[in-house]
Amino acid sequence: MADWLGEFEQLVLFAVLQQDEAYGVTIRDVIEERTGRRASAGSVYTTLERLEARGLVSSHWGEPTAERGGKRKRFYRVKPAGRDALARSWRAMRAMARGVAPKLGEP
Amino acid sequence: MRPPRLARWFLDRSLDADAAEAIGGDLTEEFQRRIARGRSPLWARVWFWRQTVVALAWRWRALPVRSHQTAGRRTMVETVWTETRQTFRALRRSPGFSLGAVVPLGLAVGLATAVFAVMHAVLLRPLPIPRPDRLVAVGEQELAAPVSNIGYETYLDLRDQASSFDGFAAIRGWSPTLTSPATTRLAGMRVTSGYFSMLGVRAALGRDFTAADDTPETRRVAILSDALWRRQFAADPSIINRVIKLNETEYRVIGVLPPSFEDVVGAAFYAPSDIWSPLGYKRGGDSTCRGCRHLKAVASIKPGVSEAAANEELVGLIAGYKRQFPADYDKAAAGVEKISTVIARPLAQSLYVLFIAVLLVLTIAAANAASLMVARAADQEHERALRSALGASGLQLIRQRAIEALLVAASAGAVGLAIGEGLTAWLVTHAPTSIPRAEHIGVNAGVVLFTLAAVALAALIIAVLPVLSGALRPVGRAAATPGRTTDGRARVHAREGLIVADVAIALMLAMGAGAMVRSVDRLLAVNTGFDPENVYTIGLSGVGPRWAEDEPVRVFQRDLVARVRALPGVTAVAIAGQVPLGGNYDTRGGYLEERQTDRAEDSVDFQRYSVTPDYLKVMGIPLKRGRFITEDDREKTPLVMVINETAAKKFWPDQDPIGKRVVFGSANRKRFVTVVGVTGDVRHYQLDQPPDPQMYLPQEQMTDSYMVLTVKTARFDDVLPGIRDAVHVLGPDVPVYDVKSMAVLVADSAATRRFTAVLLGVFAVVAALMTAAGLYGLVAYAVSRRTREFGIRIALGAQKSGIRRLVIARGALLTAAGGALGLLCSLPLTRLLHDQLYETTALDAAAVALGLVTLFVTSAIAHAVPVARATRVSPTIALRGE
Repeated sequence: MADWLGEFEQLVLFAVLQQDEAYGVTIRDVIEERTGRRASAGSVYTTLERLEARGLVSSHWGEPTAERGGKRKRFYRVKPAGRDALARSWRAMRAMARGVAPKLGEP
Repeated sequence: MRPPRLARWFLDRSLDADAAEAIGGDLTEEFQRRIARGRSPLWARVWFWRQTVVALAWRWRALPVRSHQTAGRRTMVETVWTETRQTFRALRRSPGFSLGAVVPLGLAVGLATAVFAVMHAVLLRPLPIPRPDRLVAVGEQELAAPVSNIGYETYLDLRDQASSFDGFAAIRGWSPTLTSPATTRLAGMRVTSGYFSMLGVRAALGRDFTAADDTPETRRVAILSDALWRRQFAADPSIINRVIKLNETEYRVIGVLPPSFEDVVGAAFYAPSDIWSPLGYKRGGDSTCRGCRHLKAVASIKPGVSEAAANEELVGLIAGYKRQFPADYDKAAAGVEKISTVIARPLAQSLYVLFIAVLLVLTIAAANAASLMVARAADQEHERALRSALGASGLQLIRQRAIEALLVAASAGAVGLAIGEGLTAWLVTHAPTSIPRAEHIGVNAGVVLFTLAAVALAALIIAVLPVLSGALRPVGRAAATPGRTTDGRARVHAREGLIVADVAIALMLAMGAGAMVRSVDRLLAVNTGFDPENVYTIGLSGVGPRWAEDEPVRVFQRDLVARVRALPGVTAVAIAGQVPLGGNYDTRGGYLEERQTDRAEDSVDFQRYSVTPDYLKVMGIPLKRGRFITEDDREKTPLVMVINETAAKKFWPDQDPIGKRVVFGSANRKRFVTVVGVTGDVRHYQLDQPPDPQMYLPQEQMTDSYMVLTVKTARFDDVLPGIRDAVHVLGPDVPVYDVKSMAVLVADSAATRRFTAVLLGVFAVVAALMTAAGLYGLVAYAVSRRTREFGIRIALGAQKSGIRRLVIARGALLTAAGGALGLLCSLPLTRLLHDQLYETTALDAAAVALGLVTLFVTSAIAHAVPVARATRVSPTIALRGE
């Protein structure tokens, strides 16, 4: 139960996996770039916080920079448990889509 | 460019530290990226605010929700909290109502916040000195603005004899040219030695002036501001005792002030200063006579002495001096005035007017929100009946309304703060340059407090009006059946009363705005007496020993005029001692030949323009009689002057002024100057002040090394480098400063009024729109309530015109009542606006017409849709409910 992921959580996990140094701005950039969906900073952070509490991602602080008004970046990394959970959700999604993809106009 | 401060403050305060750092940093980074990509800063700010609000909402939603199962043991706080969230959800379910109530109110709160932010900085924020309320300007003549000048000996006597003060200083404006290390003109003051101790300021480096510095022989010492010290001397700590050159004269630096020092006295009278030097006068010296009024006196009142008592003492002392030296005190009217008042004076009235206007807008917005609540209460009558039938107490029902009112007001407050912050930033950059202490304008704690008060007031209006109107009185169980509600008379009257007030206020604002716009028009249409088109002025000052003699100045002027005239694109060029609207007030007193006495009342004053021959051509001033100054008026030729028409009429009524003679300075001098021509008048101080007697003298005969180069050219940008080169070649030590266009000077002189007019206009439009919305809401509501009635009437054969009349009649009556009330209330408005208006009144025909047109259009817009709907009522649909 605890390891099923919401749709937005999956997007965020994928975005973190895409990058070596993922933080709020780059995560939102990737999601917008790939899906066209604009995510707010508040929703992304809240989701990451929840994922971290569930032990699916880890985070560490970077150095403060001037362009961020002297604030530090919070970098995220997907933990093995997060990788497993994402893989499971992704498999479930593919299993469910099998055979009906053409009906959705997908190859 | 930085993200909105207030939004960052919210982020920092409302989120836990980690979230605040990560989210705040992300948003800041992206904000900078947007700016760097060339997005408009305004949109970037809007984006930042939206993200902030969304982030706060996300965090709020993430908080654990308390379960309803524990209802039995809930505390009061928990109950209110739960109800608040329920109400919040209910409000979100009816977005039309919520937005209709929140957005206009938020806009009004935003406007009020911005106006208050300016008012707070200019009028309310205490001056940054130890005893801001005790520091006063002392006048000995007319205390009206600007505070009158004072002679040195009067100052000395007052300082020694007045017992109401514990500090007394005399000051004068000073604009030295720093010639080493770099040539710059500085804003400064000459002050008597007690000046800084009176202000409670101590030098951060070095020392203050002492009485020993303040003599004619020892006054060549200077104190620098922290800003000047950093800017020109790289914050060099060894500056003390260093010698710098001011006006080619050596001054020793003896002190540097702390960075926190803000020159409020300079701001009140001249401009905030960067450098100070002792006045260095002595009794009986040059320029120290009682009639030589060119100083300002500033004093601090002793603790425990009232302003009135200090005033009274001064009046008594000056009256005594007048008895002793009757010739020197012709119009003595002594008094004190707080420095803060002197500083705020140019804007105070505008700000009060705008503040009252914006409060009126706020009232309309709150009334509209209240009106919506009344309508909503009516719609929910059956729900309330149901609830009370199920056992909800009256108190609970009212509490829910109160929570709703607070939520609406608080949301409006949040919207208002965001709008207010953006608007304040906009105001600071677009306001007329004359706003004193503009650097303090911003949404700070005091301003937020005001916004909270405005929100609380709005919440009160929203919560209380529906209760007063009886909209919430307990209802019978019959009302629990939907569709069977009756329309309470009191409720309708309450909404109608609000509309009448709305209309009245909107009319007043429209009339005020109309009158202001008309004043600005009239002001700009004033015949200035000169043609500012393509005329530019450039300040030049030759200072130091080289320019002390007249001849080098004359040579410099002749050569400069010749060189500039030769530049391609220059139509005409001249040098003048001062120009109209230029902020200089050079007047010279003398005696007419036929009335040479030594009595002060026989002396005459002229505004003096020392000019070169082409001045009239540059400025486009008409010559009315005789001739103007020519190249032939030289040092050795007879002294000549050209006067304006006002001088001719005032001093030689019904006579030919040509050939009349005037002597300047004291009455017994024999150097007569002969009038050779008469020109048209020019407006010198302000556009709204009628011209004084003016005279033009040849620079060759009345040489002045402070000069203004005036040029008429259609290609100023091409010409300016040539002018700089010419000045540099002829006088390398002469700084070029204050490059201005006469057209801009004219426009600036109406700037404050135009600013007020534009803002009032915006308020009037907002008020009219809100009134229209309110009226629309009321009419539409009435129509929807009477759908069945209209249906029956139409079924029985009523004409469309009859139905239309039925709908319009009530609305028209309300509009007319509001209009009448507005006209009545605008009588006090006239008095309030009086000083702002120029050759017009608030009841000016055009302003009233504009107001009435606004009213009519507003009312028509509000009626259009409901009327159309009422006449289209289909009898079958309307009666289907039966």
